[in-house]
Amino acid sequence: MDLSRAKTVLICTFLILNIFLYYQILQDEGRGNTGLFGRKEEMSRLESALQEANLFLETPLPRGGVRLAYLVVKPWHFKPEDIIVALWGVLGYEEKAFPAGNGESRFVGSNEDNVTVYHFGEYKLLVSKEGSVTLKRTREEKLQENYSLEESEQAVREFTGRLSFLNSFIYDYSQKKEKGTIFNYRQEYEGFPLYAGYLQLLMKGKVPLMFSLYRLEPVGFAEQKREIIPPSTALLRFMEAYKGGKEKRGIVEFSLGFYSHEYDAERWEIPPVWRIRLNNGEVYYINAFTGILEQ
Amino acid sequence: MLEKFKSLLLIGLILLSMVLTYQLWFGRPPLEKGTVPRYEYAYFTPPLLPSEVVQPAEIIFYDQEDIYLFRRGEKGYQSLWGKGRQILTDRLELDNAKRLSRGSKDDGLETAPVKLVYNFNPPVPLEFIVRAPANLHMDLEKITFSWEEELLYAYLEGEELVRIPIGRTADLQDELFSLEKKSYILLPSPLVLDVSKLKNIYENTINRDFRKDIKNESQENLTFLSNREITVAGDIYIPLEDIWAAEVSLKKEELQREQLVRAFFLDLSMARRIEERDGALYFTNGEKGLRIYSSGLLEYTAPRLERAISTMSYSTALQKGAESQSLYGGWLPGTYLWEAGKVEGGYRLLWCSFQDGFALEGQNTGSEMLINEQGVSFYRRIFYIFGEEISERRPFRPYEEAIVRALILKKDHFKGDNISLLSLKPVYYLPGGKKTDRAIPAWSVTFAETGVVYLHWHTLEPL
Repeated sequence: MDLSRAKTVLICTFLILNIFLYYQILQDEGRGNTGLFGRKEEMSRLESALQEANLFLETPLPRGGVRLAYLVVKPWHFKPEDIIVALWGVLGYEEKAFPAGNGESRFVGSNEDNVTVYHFGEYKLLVSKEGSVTLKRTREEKLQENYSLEESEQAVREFTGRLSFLNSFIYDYSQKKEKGTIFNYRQEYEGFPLYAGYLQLLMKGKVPLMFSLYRLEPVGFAEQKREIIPPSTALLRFMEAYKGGKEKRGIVEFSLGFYSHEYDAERWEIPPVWRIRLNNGEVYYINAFTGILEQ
Repeated sequence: MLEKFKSLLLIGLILLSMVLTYQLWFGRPPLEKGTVPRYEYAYFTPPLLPSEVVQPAEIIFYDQEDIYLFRRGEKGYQSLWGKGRQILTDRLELDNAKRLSRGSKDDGLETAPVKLVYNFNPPVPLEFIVRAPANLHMDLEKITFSWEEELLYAYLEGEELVRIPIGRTADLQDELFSLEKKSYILLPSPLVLDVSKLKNIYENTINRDFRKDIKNESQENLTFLSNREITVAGDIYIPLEDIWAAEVSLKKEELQREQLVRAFFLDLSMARRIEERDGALYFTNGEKGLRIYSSGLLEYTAPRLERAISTMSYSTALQKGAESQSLYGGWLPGTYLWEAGKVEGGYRLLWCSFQDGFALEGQNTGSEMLINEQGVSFYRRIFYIFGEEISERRPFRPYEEAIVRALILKKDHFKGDNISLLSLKPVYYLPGGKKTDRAIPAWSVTFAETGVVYLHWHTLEPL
């Protein structure tokens, strides 16, 4: 083998090695790892913190290393009367029973602690000044006790499918409760979950007992992008703030999205958050810029 | 040529592989340590010196029977305080301090014919003015310079009374001679409204528009007034000559918004912006919030910093508070510490603007801060810049008329025979609502039974 050929072979070998090393570095950064030594240290720190907080991970930590900007949103403007009109048929009321009149004159809301309440049929609709909408069934009655989850899911799909103002919501997860099953939906923007926009539906069999809705109109991302904290850091920050009980809890979901409180505002910025969902149904949001628990 | 290039490329690749291996092995510093930039506080105005944090509420010069008074923001006030402070800093020897009991023979304070009194409300910590030994900690309410047989003595008064000889110095006297002085009287207690003049005072007091009511009410009011005895709580000084004043235009201070947000959050990108329906802008990082109202009022809250118990000392609270004021908008000329007191979870500090000796009072003016070891948990600020006079200069109505007017206005509040007058002073009043473009001269009358009453300086109409 002459020297020139040996050089060529070595060049190719080192080129492949460098590509491999660079890829590994990118991978590690994505996971929020900080080098082999740092990774070990961080992992043991995480493990002991999890143990101390009586928590365990049921899901792998996602990748970090993303640069994001605030998401700018506007409130969804709606007329409560339009929602009632849309719900009327979906909830199984006959068209002929619909109140006479036009628009606002048909439904008069009463104000109770910054919430306007509209009564119709066996339901009441509560609209807060921040724009959240809650529908509650007012009549207590014996409803079907034995039902399958599939039946409820089918009913929810039918319910949401028939209401056009819910078409921007995506199924998130469900929780079995004493009163029924809660189906959680969320909004999405450019592939990122928008947890701040939500729909919660409490179903007893095929009957919706309650729903809460908060819809946002995303405007776009703010200009300034910055690096978000890696999931491991977010988890550590969460455990610093978490005040759990003696019972061991599992983290069933760890995901990246956008979340903020509900505001009575014209327009606002929503930070990226790491959402941490526990197996007891508790949900926490860690600001992915500051590491602060959003409360 | 090609072989040379190959060799160089190979060397380059080998070096790069070493660098990448090192980076992969040791990694970058953890994010918390590695990417947190170093921030520096961007002060709007430089932090104050400790000696500038608390300034006298008033400076009173007693020359035999004559009384001269200098209020905050008035001509001569700053130079007189500067001279007094300089003497204290340069010549005060605390080793020579002699503790006195109030009212003792050694206490020549009351009888001294010529003295200059610096009244502090709120009190000033001694260490703000002079380097004090650890065993002599005092929050001073009064500093008095007394000339006794051509020697100057300083009396420091707080919880204790201390006398310190200064020696011979003409600095203060020279300063006093060079200043234009206004004569004052000390309101006597009890204050008796002259019954023979009461009818005249009463009629002068009532505005022409209300004359028609006088006939029906005058007798009742006069009876109410003539049966009253007014206890003057504390020393209230009133100018002997007419006080002339005019309405003054006001301009809201304009703070650079970006710098302001940075002062509270360090990094602009850490604070998200919320445009509220009422036109206010709200910045928050989820832990603390800054609201800038369309009126210019700014309000900052950090609920996590509120503490049930605070062990912070008074002097630390003042220093930290003054530093935070420099950071959160800075110092406007004519801004003075107005109130400072311990509250649950820290200290509450209030600052107020002064112009020509008149405080700008009203619903929304000045700044308020709650502070403890953790930092500022609440801050509220709206300052105005005084402009030109925009009305005719007129004298303040006599103080007796102001008292009478306030008594009549609030007569339902006085249940017993005794009335306690807590304060009476000329101020600038800032009306509420949208009329914040002018300051109206006013009498501020405070009775223990009613709270403060503001009366238009010329018409005595309630404001």
